[in-house]
Amino acid sequence: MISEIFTSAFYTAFSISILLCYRVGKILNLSFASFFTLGAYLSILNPLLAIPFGASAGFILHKLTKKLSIANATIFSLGFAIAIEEILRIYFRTEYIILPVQKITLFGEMVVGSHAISGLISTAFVTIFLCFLLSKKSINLRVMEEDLELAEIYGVRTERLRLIVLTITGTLIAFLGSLHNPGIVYPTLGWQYLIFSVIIATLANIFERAYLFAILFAFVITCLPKFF
Amino acid sequence: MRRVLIFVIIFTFLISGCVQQKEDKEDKEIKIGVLVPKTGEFSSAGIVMENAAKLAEKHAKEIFGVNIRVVIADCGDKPETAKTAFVSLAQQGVVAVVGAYSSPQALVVADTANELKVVYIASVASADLESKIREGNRYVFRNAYNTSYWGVLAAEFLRITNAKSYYLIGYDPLRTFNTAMFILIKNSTKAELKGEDWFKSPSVAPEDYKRAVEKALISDAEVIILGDPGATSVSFVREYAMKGGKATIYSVGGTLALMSVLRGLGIDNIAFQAAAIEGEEKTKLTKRYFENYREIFKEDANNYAGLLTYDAILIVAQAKMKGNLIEELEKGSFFGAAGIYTFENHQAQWGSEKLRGSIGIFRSGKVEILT
Repeated sequence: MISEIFTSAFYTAFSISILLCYRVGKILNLSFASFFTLGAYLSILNPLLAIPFGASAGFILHKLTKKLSIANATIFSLGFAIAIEEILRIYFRTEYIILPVQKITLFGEMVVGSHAISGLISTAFVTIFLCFLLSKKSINLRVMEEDLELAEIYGVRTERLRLIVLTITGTLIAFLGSLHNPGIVYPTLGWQYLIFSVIIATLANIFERAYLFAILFAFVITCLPKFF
Repeated sequence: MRRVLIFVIIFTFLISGCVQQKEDKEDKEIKIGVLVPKTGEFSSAGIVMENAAKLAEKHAKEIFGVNIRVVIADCGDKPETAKTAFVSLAQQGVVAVVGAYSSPQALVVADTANELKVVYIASVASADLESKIREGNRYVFRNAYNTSYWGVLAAEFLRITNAKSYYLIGYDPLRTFNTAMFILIKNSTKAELKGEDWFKSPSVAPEDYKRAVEKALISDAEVIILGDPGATSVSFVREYAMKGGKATIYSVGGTLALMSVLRGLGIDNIAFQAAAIEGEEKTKLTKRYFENYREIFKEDANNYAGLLTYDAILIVAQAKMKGNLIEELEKGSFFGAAGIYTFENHQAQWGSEKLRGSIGIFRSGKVEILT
């Protein structure tokens, strides 16, 4: 069960990142697939390298899409993802890279060490984000989610907020990629995690309290296969 | 004026001569289409198929003296995308098309080949192409195994190792192929079947293999037969070993047949099937395929999807060199890295003396060839 808890924490963080980009940044960020893969490849050298690379990728994506509509920004993010994927393919050449995996025992259950760290980081991110959401400081974020033009009229620095969202989520996903990868790395690795998280985010987005529902759905969907 | 006219006439003749020469040159070049899953579920296999196709283009000239040009088209992971890619290749004037990955793709492409009168050689999929041939489709051939041969090899492995029990794990996106293989295994071995399970595509449930591992551990079988040739099989094996599983894993190959992957995992007793294993010398091409692939692409050569795509291209090149493509394919024999191919009812004769699949097992850092 420990493994399922870590996995659901990971998917919660991933799907909240997608929701944040969509609701605040006005982009369905498909680049996350390649950010995750980029992190996984960088973990060959050092997992911490994923942080500056993820932040830079998020920053570049913001700069290149800030003037675009949701639809165009989403299409651009897909192209951006493919570009990163192709660069990885050219640079690393090889089809599969096997990474060493360290096992640890937690509460009598053997789990992959880096997956446990990824679970803890995801939990920390979700907790901090929910605390922020409950504070008064989140008002700018909420207004921007509701109506971008209204937010600008009220003096919210929308571009700055979008930059922060895209950079932080980009950093998080790349870092999670360096930790939560399955120990075998290949250029299309990130898509499976993205697709699964988009499903969770889409279901959660139906509800007003989307972020809370993302936690619920991530947990339910992660545990579902256990029963079938 | 007359001089100008003479000059124009001479110039026109010269130009037309050049064009004729160019056309002659083009005539000598054989264009072969290759359906490669560059995108979608099977894109990892697409990379090795594309690399192998490029190597075949090089070897066709060097070894057989045939000037071929491979034209690659992305067939994705759906039958519709494979059909579109096939039509596009046919429009480019290829003499034959090889490749595609999954069984549903191969079935649709076989029909399209018949409609467009372009030869198609299925180099990976094990779909029921026999029914298409029985219906009178002369344009479809297969140099890959048929489903029964997959089962034959797995049953052979159970026999060689004297396994008392086995457990089957299928991969949901390849259900057609896995089901047919499992039926044959069940019907041809005396070992006890301890159970059957399927794990889902990672796009639907990325960690479903963990559930399959738990069930496999409970089964306590001596051999686990794994139907997934992709990356999830690696996650499965690693999780299984981590949880203390002791069974021998028999894989259909693909990712788990790559030496670099096996070395990286460092887990003993992983068996796999392959069309040929590095170190064997089935024909003069076997060694050359493995060595040149590593030299050019800086990685281990794939020994099923890649190797058979390579062979399929060389088969077309050799047959076309002899004369009418269909007639030559039906009656001739052709060199490949996996052995010498002959076709009976348009199916390569796997299991014959000159064309046999191989089984290897990874132990103590190296691959032992069992058959």
